[in-house]
Amino acid sequence: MWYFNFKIAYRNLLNRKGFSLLNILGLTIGMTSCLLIFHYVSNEKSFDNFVSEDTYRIRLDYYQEGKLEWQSATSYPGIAPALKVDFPEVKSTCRLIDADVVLINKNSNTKFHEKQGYFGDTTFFSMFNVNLIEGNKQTALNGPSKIILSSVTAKKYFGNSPAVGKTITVKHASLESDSLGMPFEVTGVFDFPKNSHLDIQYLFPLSTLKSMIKDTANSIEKLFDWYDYYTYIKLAPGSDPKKLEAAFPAFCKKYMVENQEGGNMYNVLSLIPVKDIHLHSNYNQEAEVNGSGRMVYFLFLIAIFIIVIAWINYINLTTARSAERAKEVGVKKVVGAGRSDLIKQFFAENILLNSTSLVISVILFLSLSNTFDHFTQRSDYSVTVLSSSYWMWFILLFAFGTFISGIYPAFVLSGFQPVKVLKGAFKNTASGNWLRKGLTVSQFVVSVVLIAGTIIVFQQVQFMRKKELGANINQTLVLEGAGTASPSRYMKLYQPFKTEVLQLPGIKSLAASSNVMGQEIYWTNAAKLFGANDKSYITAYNLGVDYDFVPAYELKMVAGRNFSPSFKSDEKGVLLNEHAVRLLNAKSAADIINKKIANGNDTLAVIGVIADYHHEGVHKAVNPLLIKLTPDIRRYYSIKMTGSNPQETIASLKKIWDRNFPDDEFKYFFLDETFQAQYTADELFGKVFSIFAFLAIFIACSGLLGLSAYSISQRSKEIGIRKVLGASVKSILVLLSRDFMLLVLVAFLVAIPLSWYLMNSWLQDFAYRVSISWWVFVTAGGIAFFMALLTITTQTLKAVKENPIKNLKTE
Amino acid sequence: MIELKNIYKYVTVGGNKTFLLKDLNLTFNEGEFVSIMGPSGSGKSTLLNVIGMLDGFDEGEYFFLHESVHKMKEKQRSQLYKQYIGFVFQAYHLIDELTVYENIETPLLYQDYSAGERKAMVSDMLDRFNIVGKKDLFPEQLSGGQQQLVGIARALIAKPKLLLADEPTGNLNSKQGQEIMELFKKLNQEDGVTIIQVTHSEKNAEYGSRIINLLDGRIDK
Repeated sequence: MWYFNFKIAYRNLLNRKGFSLLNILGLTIGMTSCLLIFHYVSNEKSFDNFVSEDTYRIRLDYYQEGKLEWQSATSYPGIAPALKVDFPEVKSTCRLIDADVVLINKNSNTKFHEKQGYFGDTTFFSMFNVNLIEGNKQTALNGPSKIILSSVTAKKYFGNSPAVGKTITVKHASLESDSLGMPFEVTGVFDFPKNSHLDIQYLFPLSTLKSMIKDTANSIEKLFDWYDYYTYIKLAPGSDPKKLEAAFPAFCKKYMVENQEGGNMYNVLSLIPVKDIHLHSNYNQEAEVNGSGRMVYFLFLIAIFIIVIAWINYINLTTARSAERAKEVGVKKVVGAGRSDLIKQFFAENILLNSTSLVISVILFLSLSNTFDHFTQRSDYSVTVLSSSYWMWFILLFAFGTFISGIYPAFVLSGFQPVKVLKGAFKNTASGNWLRKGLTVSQFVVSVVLIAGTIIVFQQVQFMRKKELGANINQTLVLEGAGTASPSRYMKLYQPFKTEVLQLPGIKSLAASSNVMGQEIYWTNAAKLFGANDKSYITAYNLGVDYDFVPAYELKMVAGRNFSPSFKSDEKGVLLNEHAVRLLNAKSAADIINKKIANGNDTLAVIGVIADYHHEGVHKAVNPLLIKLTPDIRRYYSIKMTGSNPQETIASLKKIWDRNFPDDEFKYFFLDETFQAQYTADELFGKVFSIFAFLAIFIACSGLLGLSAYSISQRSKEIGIRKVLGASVKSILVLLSRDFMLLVLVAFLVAIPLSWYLMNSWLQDFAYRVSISWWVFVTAGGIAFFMALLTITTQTLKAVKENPIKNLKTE
Repeated sequence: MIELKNIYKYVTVGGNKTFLLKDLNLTFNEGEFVSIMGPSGSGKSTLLNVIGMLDGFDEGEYFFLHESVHKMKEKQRSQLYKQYIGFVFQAYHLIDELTVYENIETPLLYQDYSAGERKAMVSDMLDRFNIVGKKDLFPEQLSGGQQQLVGIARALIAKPKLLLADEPTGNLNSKQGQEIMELFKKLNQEDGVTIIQVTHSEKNAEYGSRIINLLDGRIDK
C-alpha cells in the first residue's frame, strides 16, 4: 500500500514539474539555511564543553556610592584560597593571570613576542581536563623556571623533535637579568581546545610569577587587590551554585576592606558557568573577544523563520492545487478508497517531497559548511559539522514540520465529495482561501521583518564606521613596544631609535603610549578632586603617554595645554577628558585647570582637558580618562606616516628596530584596520542577515508565484468574460493583483511593530546606536511590495494576454 | 436487489425547495439491465448517484440486498459499495498518474487482496478485455474507447454484483459506443452482472431489458 502511495506520489511530482520544483526549491533553501545556521549555533554553543558542568568562573562587580562602576571578568588572587578554606563545596580552584613575554630558543635563534600565555595554578590540568602529550602532569608545574607549551608553540620553537627537557629563554621587562633572559625548562606539551574562551599557548606555574615579583612572603595568596586574575572553581557534585553565590556578600565582608567600610564602595562576586562564558560574558578584561549570545539567538530565530516559510509554501501550493487533485480523489473514493487511505497517500507525497529536499539539503549543507565557516570567519573554531544534539533537533524539527505541513492539505484533499468533484465544477472553499491568505501574510511579515532588520544592521555598522571618533587614527602604524630591556637601560635604547625613525622620509611623528585606540584599558584606579570627600571617588581609566601622543592623534584640547618638556612639574600633571571632568563634579573644563586630583597614592595637577573621544570604538560608552605623562612608557609606539609607500617605510623601520632592539620582535599593525576590525562581527552579522533575508523573500515570492498562478487559472473564465465585455488590460491587472497586494499590505502593517521591537532589542548591545527611522520600514515594505507585484504580474500578464474564447470554451 | 421507497431529494434556494428527486419508488432485481432516460436536469445522474451511495437523499428508504442504506453510517455504506458496486463514468475518470494496469488494480488496493491475488485478477481482466498490450500505457496514450474499456475493467475488477454507468458512451463515437454496449449486454447475460445505465440515446437504451423515463425528478409514465 505504501509502495503504491509512493509510486503515485512520485509520478505526481514528476508530472507537475513546475509545482514540484517550486516546492523542493523552497524546502531545500529553507532546510539548507536552517542547517547552516544550526551548524554555526552549535559550534558557538560548543565552546568550553570539554570542561565539566560544575566548573565556574568568578566575576567581580565593583560599586561606588551604590552605583555600578565596573564589571570585570577577573578578580582578586586572594579569593581562590579563601574560598577553599571557607566553603567545603568548593572542590578545587585555579587562577590564571596574563603573561606577556618574549620566548627565545637560543639554539635556533627563534624569537617571538608571545601574548597568549598565562601564569596558572597547578590545578590547571584538572580544572580544564587538559592532558599532556609530553611530560608529566604531576611535576610539570611544581616549581618556578618551568613552562609548558601548546603543541603549536612547541613546534614553532623545537620543530618536530620532543620539546620536553629542552631550555627556552624567557624575557620580560620585569626580569632583572636584562638582555640575557632567564632559562626555563619545558616540562610539558599540551593541546588546549580551540573552541574555548581561553587561548593558551604557554603556561608558567604561578610560583614563577611570585619569584618574578619577589613575593617571598606569598602575599598574593591573601591579596584582595590587583584584580587581574581569572578565578575558576570546581564545585563538589550536587552542590548548588546559587547557595554559594548567596554566601558571597558575607565572604566579601570578611575579606575585603571596601566591603567593611560601611558600603560606599563594595565588591560583588558572582559565578558564571564556564560553558556560558563565550556567549554570555562581555565584561572588562575578558581573556578573548567573546561571541554574542544575542546574535546567536537572532540567527536561531532566522533559521526557524526560514524553514517555517518553506513549509507554509508547501501548504499554500498544495491546497491551491486542490482543484487539480479533486478528480483523482473523487475517483479513488468511488472505487473504494476510504478517507484514511487518501490521507496516507497525501502524506506519502508530503514525505517524499520533504525527504527529497532533505537529502539535497544535507548534501548542500555538507558541501557548503566549510565555505560558510570561512564566510563567518569561524573556520578555526568549527569543530563539528553539527553536534549530535543539533542533528537531533533538526530531525525533530524536520519530522514535526513535515507532519504539520502535511496535515492540512491531506485533510482538505481527502475530504472532497466525489459527486461534487466529479461533476467538474469545483472551486476552492472560502475557509481554505482564508487560511492561505493568513499563511501568505505571515510569510511576508517574516520577509519584511528580515529586510527591515538587514537595513538596520547595516545602518548601525555604517554609523559606527562613520562616527567621528574625536581622534585621528588614519595612516597610523603601531609598533609593539620593546619590552625586554630593563628600565635602567630602556631610555638609552629608545632615544636613538626615536631619533633615527623621525629622520626617515614619510614619517611625521612617533608617540609612545600604554594603549592605542580600539583597545580596552585595563589600567584603572580611583580618583577624586583633592580635598573632596571619599564619596566622590570615581573609577578612572588611565592612559600613559609621552609628550607627542596628544598632537599625534589630533586630540582636541578644550582647556589648558598638553604636556610639555619645558615644565618639569608636568611629571605630576594630568590631562582629563570631559567625561572625567563631569564625573568629578567640576564646574567646567576651564575651572578644573590647576586643581589637584587625588589618584591612588598620588596627587596630580590638572594641566589640560581634552574633548571626549571614542577610545574603544562606539560599541562602548566613553569612560572617564586620566592621561598621565610617562615618557618611558613602552607598550605601543604610534607612528604617523605621510608617505605613499608604507611597505618601504616598514622595511626601513625594521632595520632601525633590529639595530636598537635586537632582543625584541618587530611587530606592527595598522591602527585603522584593527580599529575597524572591532566592527567585523557586526558587519558579518549584517551580511548573514541580508543573505537569509533575501532567501526568505525569495521563498515567499516563489510561493506567491504558485499561488497567483493557480488563483488566476481558477478565474480564467471570469477574465475571459470581462475581456469579451471590453475590460482593459490595466483594469484586469488591477483586479487580479489587488487581493494579493492587500495581503502584502497587511503583512507590512504587522511587521512594523514586530521588527521595531526585535531590532530595538538587538541595538541594546551598542552604547551608541542609530535611531530607527520610519523610512526603514517604508523601504522594507516597498521592497516586499515590489517583489510581490513583480511576481504576480508575470502571471497576470500571461492570463490577460490569452484569447478569451479559449477560456470560455473550456467551461 | 434494490428497493427505493418514497425517495425525495431537494435543494433549498431562496426559501423554495427545488426537487431533484420526488417521491421515487423503484425496484431493481438481480440480473436486470435497466436503462434510465430523460432530458437534461431530469435527475437521472442524481438517481444513479443515490443508488451508488455517492450521494445522499433527504427523505425515504433505500434497501440494498435487504439492508437499509438510509440507516447506515458512512463507513458501512462505503464498505457495502466497495464490495458490490462498480462505477463507469462518461468522462472515464481514470487516474492520469497510473498506468492501465495500475488503474485497474486500484479498487483491489482498498480491499483485502494479497499482491499475488491482485496480479492474477488484473491479468485475467486484461486478457478478457484484450488490452494486455496496453497495460503499461498511461490513460492519455489511449483512445476514448480504450479508456472507457479500462474504466469498465476497473469497475468490474472487484467482481461487483451491480454496475452503474453514467452515460458510458457519451464521449464516444457511435462505433465505439456500440462496442461498449455489446460488452454490457454480454456481461449482463453471461456473467449475470446487474446493470443500471443512464443514457440519452434511444438506441443504447434498447440494450436494456427495462427503461425508466424520468422527468423533473419523477418517473414519467
